[in-house]
Amino acid sequence: MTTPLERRQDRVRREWYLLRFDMAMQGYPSAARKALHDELRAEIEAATADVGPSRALPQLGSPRGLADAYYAELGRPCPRPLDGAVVAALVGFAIALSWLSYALGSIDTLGVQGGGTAELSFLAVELTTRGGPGGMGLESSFSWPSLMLLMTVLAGAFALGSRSWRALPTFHPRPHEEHP
Amino acid sequence: MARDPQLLKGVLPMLVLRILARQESYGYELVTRLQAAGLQDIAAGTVYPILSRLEREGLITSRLVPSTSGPARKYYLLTAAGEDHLENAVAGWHTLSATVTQVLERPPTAARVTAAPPTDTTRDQP
Repeated sequence: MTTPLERRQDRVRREWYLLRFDMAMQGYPSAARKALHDELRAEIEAATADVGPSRALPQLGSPRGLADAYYAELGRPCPRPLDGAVVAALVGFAIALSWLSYALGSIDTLGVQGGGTAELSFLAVELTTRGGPGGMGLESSFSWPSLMLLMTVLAGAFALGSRSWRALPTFHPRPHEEHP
Repeated sequence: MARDPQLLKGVLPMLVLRILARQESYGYELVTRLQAAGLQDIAAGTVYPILSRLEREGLITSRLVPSTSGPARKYYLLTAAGEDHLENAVAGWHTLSATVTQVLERPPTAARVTAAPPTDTTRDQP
């Protein structure tokens, strides 16, 4: 007999497992992915009813391993959009950080030199920095070329991170359709 | 003795089809039937993706059956295409198995071919 607390813990474990499975299945064709999610949930619930939660989830192995097995049975590589988004976010963060470091460095230099104003350009972004005993200031202006450059870099990072070339159609015969 | 997973990988879909040909099953029940048949180390996580592929390829189909001990179970059963595929797979397995057995049980030949020592043909002859 399970207590309400144990039932809640089992539910949390099951949902956590399914969430990790969904994350690992990010590149799977979306319609089939939803069906697999529902199917797996039903199988877990059925196995839990048969042998209890302590044996139902371990039988599945790791969510990542299970997702890899589904990918292997699909027979073709899939792009990973979530990985691409993470890589693009990291590249965006690195650009923002370097831009900020550059601006603060120029302000610091102006302060050391006794103050003044500097007009700079960094990664195609126009920067106007002011520094001196009276305070400091920073202005920036995005132009279309700078915006396009930034978007291109981020799109490239996303494309590389997500292995987007995998979405290109290729012919993969099913095993039972191959000639002997 | 530990079983090589790669050996099982190639025949597991055939075993799944064979078991479903005898009796329709839901996923976890199928796993327990494979385990009871001697594949104790088979995991549900290995079988579910195979079921998914077989269903996608139209070799098996499924139906939901209400259960008294939990949620509705998805029972899998063979289609006509699945029966044909199983028949071919079993025939292929028997052929391969006979060949492998023949090779493994062939007695070693008495006269072994030994490699001749290499001769240096570039050296000038006297």
